[in-house]
Amino acid sequence: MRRATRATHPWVGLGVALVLGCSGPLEGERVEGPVRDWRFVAKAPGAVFATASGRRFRGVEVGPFVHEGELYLHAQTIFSANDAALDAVLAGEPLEMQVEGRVYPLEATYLSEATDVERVLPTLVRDGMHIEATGIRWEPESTRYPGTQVRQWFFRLESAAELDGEASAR
Amino acid sequence: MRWILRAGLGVVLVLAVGFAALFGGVGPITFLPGGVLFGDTREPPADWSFTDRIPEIQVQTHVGPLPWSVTTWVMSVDGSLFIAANDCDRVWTHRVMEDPDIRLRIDGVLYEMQAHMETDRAVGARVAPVVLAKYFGIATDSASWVPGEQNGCVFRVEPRT
Repeated sequence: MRRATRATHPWVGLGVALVLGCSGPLEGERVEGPVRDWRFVAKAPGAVFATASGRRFRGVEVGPFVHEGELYLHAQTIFSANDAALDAVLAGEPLEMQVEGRVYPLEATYLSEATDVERVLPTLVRDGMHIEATGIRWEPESTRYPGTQVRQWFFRLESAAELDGEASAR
Repeated sequence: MRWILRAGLGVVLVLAVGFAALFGGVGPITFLPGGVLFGDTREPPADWSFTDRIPEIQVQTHVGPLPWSVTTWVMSVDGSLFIAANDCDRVWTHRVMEDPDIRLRIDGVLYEMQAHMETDRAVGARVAPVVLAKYFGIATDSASWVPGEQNGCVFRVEPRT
């Protein structure tokens, strides 16, 4: 038993080190105040997202985009639709975004209505996919391309502080 | 110290088995590359529109003498065939640019083909709406890639001459 324990310790240690090394809270100066205009995010490279508990997105690719000064998050499947961080955000866990060395606590609202998604699509297509397009429409159930679409989720992101302030004011 | 040696050997063994499986015919799988593609070889059809319902295909090129295959997107435009990479700085895209002879596996069937990178913006304007509709569920009246802002690239695929 003792022999087995001694042999197991290094593996457990290696596993713990790997898990901790790839997760945990985002580091940087925390910006607790509200942010009204997020356009700087569109110009800043390499934004990193994690849930408030430190989970990173593994099975989905996430990217921010800014539509009329408001911040949005686009998530799409890479190779699996299962992603613990995405599940947590869909369940209401707050998010954090690290950009330019600062960490912004955020609340995410899932866009469930097609009209809400369609409103921000031109910006995603132009800024996120680098495609100039006209007549953009949201048609996830295409009859010509059945079952070929990647799975996607759209979130509106707002400063946690901003929402706290609104709640206090009410 | 012995556990470090054992851990190292274990990692090497796992990598060797994984490498042999991927390049011995199991791969490519999702983002992992593979080696030789197996399947029945057929003559290329004149119309590739049947690929509209197929999300991903496998493309085989080579790295030196070794076969190298990947999974990627496929688009049919007016019956012609295109494949795409969202990042053109990949091993397989560089190899295809050097040697256009490729093998495609679509729905388990192999096709001996050639691929040439498409730089004509007019052709890009025909492919971009298909990418948006087929993979992102975004219908458009017109769409074209913004010059100089794209990391990806598109290859026109034709029968070998």
